[in-house]
Amino acid sequence: MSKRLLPAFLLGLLLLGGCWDEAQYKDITIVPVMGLTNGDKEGEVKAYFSYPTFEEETIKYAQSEGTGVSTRAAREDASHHTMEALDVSHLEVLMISSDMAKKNVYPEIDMFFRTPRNRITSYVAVVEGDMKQYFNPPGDFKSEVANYYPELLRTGVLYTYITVSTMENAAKLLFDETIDLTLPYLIIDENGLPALDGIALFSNNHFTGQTLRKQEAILAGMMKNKLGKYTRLSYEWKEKDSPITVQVIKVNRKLKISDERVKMKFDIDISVDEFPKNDLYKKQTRREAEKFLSAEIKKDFEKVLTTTQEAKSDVFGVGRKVHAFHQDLWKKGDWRETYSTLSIEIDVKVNLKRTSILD
Amino acid sequence: MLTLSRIQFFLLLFVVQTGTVFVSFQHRLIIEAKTNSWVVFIIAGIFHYIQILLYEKYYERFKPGRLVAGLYIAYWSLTIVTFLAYLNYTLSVWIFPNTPQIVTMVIIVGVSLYANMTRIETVINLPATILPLFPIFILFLFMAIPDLVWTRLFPLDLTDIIPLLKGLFMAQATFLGIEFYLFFRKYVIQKVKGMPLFIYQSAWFFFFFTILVFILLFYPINAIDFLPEPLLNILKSQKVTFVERLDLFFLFIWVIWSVVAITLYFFMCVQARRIYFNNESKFLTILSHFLLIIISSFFATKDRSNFLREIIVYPQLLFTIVIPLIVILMNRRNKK
Repeated sequence: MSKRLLPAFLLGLLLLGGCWDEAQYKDITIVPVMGLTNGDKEGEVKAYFSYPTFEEETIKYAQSEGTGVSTRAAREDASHHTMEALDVSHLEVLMISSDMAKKNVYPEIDMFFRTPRNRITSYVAVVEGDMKQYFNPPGDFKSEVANYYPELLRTGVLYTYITVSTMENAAKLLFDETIDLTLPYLIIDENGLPALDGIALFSNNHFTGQTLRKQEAILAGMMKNKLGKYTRLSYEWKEKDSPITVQVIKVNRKLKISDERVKMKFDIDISVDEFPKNDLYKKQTRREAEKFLSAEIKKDFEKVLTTTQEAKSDVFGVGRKVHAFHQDLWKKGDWRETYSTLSIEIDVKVNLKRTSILD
Repeated sequence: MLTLSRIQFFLLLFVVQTGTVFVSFQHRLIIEAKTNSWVVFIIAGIFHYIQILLYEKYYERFKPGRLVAGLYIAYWSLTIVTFLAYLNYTLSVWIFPNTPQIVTMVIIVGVSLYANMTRIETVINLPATILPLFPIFILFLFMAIPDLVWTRLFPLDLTDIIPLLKGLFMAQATFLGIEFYLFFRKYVIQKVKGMPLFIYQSAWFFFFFTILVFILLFYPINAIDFLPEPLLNILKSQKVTFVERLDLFFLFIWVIWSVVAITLYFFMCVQARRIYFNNESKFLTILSHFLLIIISSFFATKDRSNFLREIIVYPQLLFTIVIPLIVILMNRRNKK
């Protein structure tokens, strides 16, 4: 073969590569939201899918469900009821029922990691109650589930209601012996609408059944030093007879471990977002505000810590430092048991850095 | 006569040494040495520096005969088969699950065949194609920084020597191709000793060490057991707005990198044949490429490519330490 023909031949071959591995949209149906729950039989997985259909030139979302011995088998089963094969490579949200999450959920999400086409940066959430309700909410639901859940969780991350809970991050923490996972916790509220209720606490790769609700979840995010773009806390300042809302700018956490005692020290920089009393122009008021907020946040942090210790859920990653530098304490026994009985002291110092454009 | 500038020489050596292995060497090293891996690699780095310093001191005495040259051709052919089999297996699981492996194999080897049928300068300057890809790769990797956990580098347990030695043995994969130094050094017209050599050593070390440390910091140690290409998984975990799969971008960079490395190995086989056997047959060049496609296709499965990657370290020690030592010593004795 001449030297000139060879590059042309190679280029031709390169183009051929796409022939075998192309995946056309006309052959598949993209699934943006998927739900997993236990099937009726022991060891069976039931999967729900929300996928787009085109009716009268508009996009509607239909649901399909399937059961099988694994997530993949359930998906195959569900594909039998749809015109095109269900494709989860662009999945945005995976919901797992709280019952299923009470055992190690990794086997159910393995298929997402094994197939390279699949997106592993999708959100994962734990849902309370019947999974079917989340695909057909009983209340007056004005949105489409396929749009609603991704946006709800994105907003949750933005406002520190939850920390980033992607599938990849969740799987990594399920295998990490030194820290426990938290996942967004969804409920169907009194109006029959799906809502973000807080975070689900995991202990050693399974859901403990305990959750931290809204404000506590924000505080947990601060304690983990995983802030979203906006982190706001509101308190009733009785001495001043006024509410005060602050925006957390930065949290600096220091963890000291000595003689089986842990000290968590937080330096929190804040900006005041709301204070109708309007006397922050006085230096004394600013110092009083710092003192008041330090005491309140410390009290709340201690409450959150107690809940996690009761749940044997080391969501703050105390175990990371213990495992790395205090092997005697780490080897004392099962870390979750040790964590639940550990004496942890919390110290909070709030620094009022900004008062916004009003004093 | 072939002449090389210092930059050409080091770039060629860097591509040959990093080539295919930089995506996979961490897996086995971490499995053996656990969190101690980064300390083990620092020790490996010291050994590497000592080795190239010794090469620099004695390269003029490295004058292989026909037998030794023939053995090196066989060793490089084995390396090519190992690389090709692993490259094609990895491509088939990450990008082209349905494309027949022979097609990807022909494309990769075809580049080498084309380059090796043209002028020597074409191959020598081929590593320059990697240069623009290097900062892109580093940029992609650094996107993982927010997910790194520094405590994952600890605890260190340096009391049990066996896992450390096993780790050190696994780290030898990053030494592959170091013998090119002995073959190419005599063609370099500029000063190499001293600072230039130290800069090369630092580049080699920091390249491998950075990737290793990123992997250690990104994943819990027990997750590495089932991640054969943890580096690819790190990039797959990055969410960016401009592309759905960042790992694909990186995979193509790695493929180009590997193709250049494989081409250089083929080049060495062709040149060794030309210099030591006075054989410039183009038919043999085509035939050897064709044969290596066939053999590599046979080994492009999980078990077989793993087998080759496991055994390649043994001949590597022979061809980078034992044989150069014998050749240099024999040459010294003959001089006396």
